[in-house]
Amino acid sequence: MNVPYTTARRSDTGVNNVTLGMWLFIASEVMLFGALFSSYALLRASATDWPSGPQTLSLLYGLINSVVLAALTSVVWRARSRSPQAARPLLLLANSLGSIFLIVKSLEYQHDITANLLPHVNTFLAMYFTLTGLHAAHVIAGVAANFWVVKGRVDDAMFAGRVRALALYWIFVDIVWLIIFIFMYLL
Amino acid sequence: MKHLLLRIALVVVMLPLTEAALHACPICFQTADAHLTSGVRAGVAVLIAVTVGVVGVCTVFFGRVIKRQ
Repeated sequence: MNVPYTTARRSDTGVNNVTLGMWLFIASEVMLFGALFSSYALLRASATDWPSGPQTLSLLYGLINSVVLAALTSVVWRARSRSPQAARPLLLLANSLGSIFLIVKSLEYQHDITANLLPHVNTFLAMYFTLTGLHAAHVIAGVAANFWVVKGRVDDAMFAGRVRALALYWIFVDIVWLIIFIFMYLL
Repeated sequence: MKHLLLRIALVVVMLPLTEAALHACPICFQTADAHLTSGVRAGVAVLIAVTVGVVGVCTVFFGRVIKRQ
């Protein structure tokens, strides 16, 4: 069966199908992270003793990752308005930044594990590992998607649609990280 | 046999109504400690905020689709 692939903007929705699909996906992801943030709020507000984020976690690792992820999102956002020839190197640069994010996250986990900051120690650390682990999985998925788009040999309109969808995805991943950073590392 | 099953089903349905105090959620009835109550409230508030946000955006989107047609 051949499913027709359209890149034209639909008159009823105002966007093309790729963008609409990405918005629907992001809506489901918002609900997923929303449930976890709700659990965080429940655990934090009901705890009689809650560890201090800045004193427990390494603020430096968190800051580095915030800057790296913001740079990554900025690079992908720039790629969306470029031709495929110009966008491909930008997406590869974004992947390098994504890899740096994951390496820094791994180093941070290693540091935490060495300091016996493990999920079973308290609910704060359980939430920290759950939220940051799920977020890191999204970064891995984003890096894989970037590779898929770079490798794909498609026409310009289809390529542009894919990069636009990627830009939306990375903005979402960046916003989730900022929320995690504020509530875990700063408050 | 059919009547017996019906009676059991009726009792199961009526039980929460007749023994409301016995089956009451301690958090809703404010008998749990204040921290737990405020925690549940905070969790529910966040979940409601996220759900209302997503549903609101969906409503605006479908409103625009209807308007364009």
